[in-house]
Amino acid sequence: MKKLRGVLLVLISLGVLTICLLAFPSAGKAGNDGVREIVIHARAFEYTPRLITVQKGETIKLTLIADDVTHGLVLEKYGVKLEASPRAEVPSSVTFVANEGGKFHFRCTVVCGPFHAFMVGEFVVEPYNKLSIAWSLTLVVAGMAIIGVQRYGDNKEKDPVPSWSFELTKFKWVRTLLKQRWFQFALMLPNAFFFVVILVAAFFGSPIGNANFAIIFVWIVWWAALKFFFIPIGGRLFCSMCPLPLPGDWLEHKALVKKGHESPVSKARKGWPKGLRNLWTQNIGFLSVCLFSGLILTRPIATGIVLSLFIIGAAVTSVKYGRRVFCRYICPVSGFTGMYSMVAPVEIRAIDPQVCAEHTDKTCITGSEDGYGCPWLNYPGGLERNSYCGMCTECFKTCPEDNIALNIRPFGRDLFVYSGRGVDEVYNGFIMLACALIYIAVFLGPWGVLKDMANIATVPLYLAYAVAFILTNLVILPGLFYVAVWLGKGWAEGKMTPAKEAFNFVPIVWQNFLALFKKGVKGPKFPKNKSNVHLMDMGLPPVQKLFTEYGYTIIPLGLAGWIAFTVAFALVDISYAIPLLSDPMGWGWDLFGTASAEWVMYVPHLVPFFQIPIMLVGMVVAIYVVYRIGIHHISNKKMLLKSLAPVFFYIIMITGFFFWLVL
Amino acid sequence: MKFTETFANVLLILAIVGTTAGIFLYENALENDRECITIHFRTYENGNPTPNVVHIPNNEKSCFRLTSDDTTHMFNLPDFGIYSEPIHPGKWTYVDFTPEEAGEFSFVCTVVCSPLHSKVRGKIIVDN
Ligand code: SF4
Ligand code: SF4
Ligand SMILES: [Cu+2]
Ligand SMILES: [Cu+2]
Repeated sequence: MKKLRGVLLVLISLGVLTICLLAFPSAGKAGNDGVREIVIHARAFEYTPRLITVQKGETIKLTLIADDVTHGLVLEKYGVKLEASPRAEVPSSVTFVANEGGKFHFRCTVVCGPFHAFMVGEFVVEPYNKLSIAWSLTLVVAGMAIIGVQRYGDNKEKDPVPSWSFELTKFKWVRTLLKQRWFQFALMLPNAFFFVVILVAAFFGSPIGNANFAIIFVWIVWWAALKFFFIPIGGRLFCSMCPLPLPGDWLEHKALVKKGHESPVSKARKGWPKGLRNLWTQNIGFLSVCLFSGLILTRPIATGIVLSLFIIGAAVTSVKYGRRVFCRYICPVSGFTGMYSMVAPVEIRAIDPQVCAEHTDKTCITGSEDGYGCPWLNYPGGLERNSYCGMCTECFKTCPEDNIALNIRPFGRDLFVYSGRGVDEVYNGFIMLACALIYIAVFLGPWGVLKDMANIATVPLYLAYAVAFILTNLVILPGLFYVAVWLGKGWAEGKMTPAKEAFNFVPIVWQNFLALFKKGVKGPKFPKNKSNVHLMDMGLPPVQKLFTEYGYTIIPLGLAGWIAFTVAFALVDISYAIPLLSDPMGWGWDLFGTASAEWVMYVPHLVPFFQIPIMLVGMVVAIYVVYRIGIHHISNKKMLLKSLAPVFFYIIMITGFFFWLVL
Repeated sequence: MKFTETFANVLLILAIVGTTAGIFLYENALENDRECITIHFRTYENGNPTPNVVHIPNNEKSCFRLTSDDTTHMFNLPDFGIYSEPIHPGKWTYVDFTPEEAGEFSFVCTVVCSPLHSKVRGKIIVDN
């Protein structure tokens, strides 16, 4: 223990030293006299060179040449704004002095195709060292976090997440409000209105993404709201007002506000296949949507089709199975909202389990005159985690004992609830993490080839992208984590679990996968875990079990990654929303007089100053979470730390990789 | 309860049908008031400027309201020596002119917009 602390302290002081050295750089090399001429070629959707490095103080003459269609270039920091058409007689150029160090992004200003908004290049004025500072900070913060969790993480009195909760429904008016039958409808109605505008715009509005309400309000405004507010603060709050299942609900209930017809819960329980009562449908659904994100995010019509599919899917399953089978098992957005909602500081829970035990009718499951049985197929009286509760407030209405509460509680408490976990959930976390990293590279990075791949420029390129995408999501990121867990267990126990045993699921998965393509042939089923008791010679739980437990650390890390990613594109692109309020279809309207507002970036140079702390907080929380989960399973502190060491390393590497991508 | 239910139904129908109808009716009303003829520029691969053939009266001022559905284009009517400003996607560019001669005239694009840029063209027919 002492040794570990010593090592960490050395690391921390090294990191601090580096930061000090980097933060006060000696003056950069003096730039050469005279003017440095740089010619930038622009094609959809890449600048060549995509990275320009100059020395502070140099005088730069930038010339923009368009190779295929008209492009622009804005380098806000230096007030550079160029526009060039192909084969222009007078080249477009500008001269300026690069008098401030740093890394700046230049962007295209003229819509040149679907990926126009993601066409960027990097302009680095040396000395530039944000990346090295961020890396050193990562080490320092991680080291302190590891020391910190050891001190506080397992001490009941000092633990930063004690189990308090504050019941909001104590206030009578809150409970009365939640018990109103019109409550959820009132939330859905305005969203339904916006949704109609979105669908009309998607199918009939301008085909230009940034001149269409559907693209900007779904993928910028709604997405940012989801990542900044709804999920981290409200959990599944958006599910309570999502208008997509409204047609399905109506088909089932034949009523909007009053208690209408309700299918018995057995219909859904029997109908929906047992093998799919997990997150896998949503995991696959989310992956497929992501595979086509290059089209969906940039073409209004593609967004329209995807959203329509959601509505139809919800309606069909409502009729076929009843209740919100779509939301619970199919909706691709629902999967990650559910996982990340475990972090949110609100919850819906039963107040007194004794009351539930004595209430044999369980009207919160079966429904009553006052409301529907839980549409999300939960037993509201036994809720322990937010993951699958759509916050529809029906159980407030159906519980005759007023035994359901809306609580404020510490962030992230559900991450320490050990029942109900599974590989499907852990995989959801990895898929979200991988997608965040890939999106950052594709949409925020300067690499035109990645954009061509995602944009399906050619089929072979796209296939390569798809394979790499799926491998990163399903094999590489979770696989490395699995290896980390395996190594940690080996180190803690003093002998490695033989690879044959640790990876015994690989051939089974593979054969199940092959069986998918051969009709009639069923792949081998996973053997049932014989028992959870594994106390022989003080060993740790099996690697698979540890993987599923430790895996929940990916949730805070991934959420931080998404928030940090969203910060970057929200600040850059949100101003597109202003003209669209006046001209949602891109037809040339001017409802509120804002139609001619120009695109501006809001504080693009501050983006890294948001991203670095967000990511570091995510890393610290991840370290804390995995430590807390660890002590639940391993009481011997020395073994615990050894088993966690490779996992900590994984978390730190992911954070470092993120910084490399964005800084 | 009955009243609330009816009220909810009305609101929802307004939100769905009312909004949709409102959007198209409003555009219709605007279009009737517009003096300019709208042309959507598209590359040759995307289907060329739409509508591709436009009728205008002779000896009367005509106005065009131009936008692009893909990349930057430019409107040029060589026979009359008319050039527009660049037509950027999602934005509107206006040109007007008064023909003094009846007949069929081609308009072309003068900004390279795709490999088949030189095929981007349409027709303006000045009626007598
Ligand atoms: S209806 Fe209320 S008291 Fe009865 S089981 Fe459900 S939550 Fe508990
Ligand atoms: S637990 Fe209650 S609030 Fe949550 S989905 Fe079920 S009925 Fe709705
Ligand atoms: Cu461009
Ligand atoms: Cu053209």
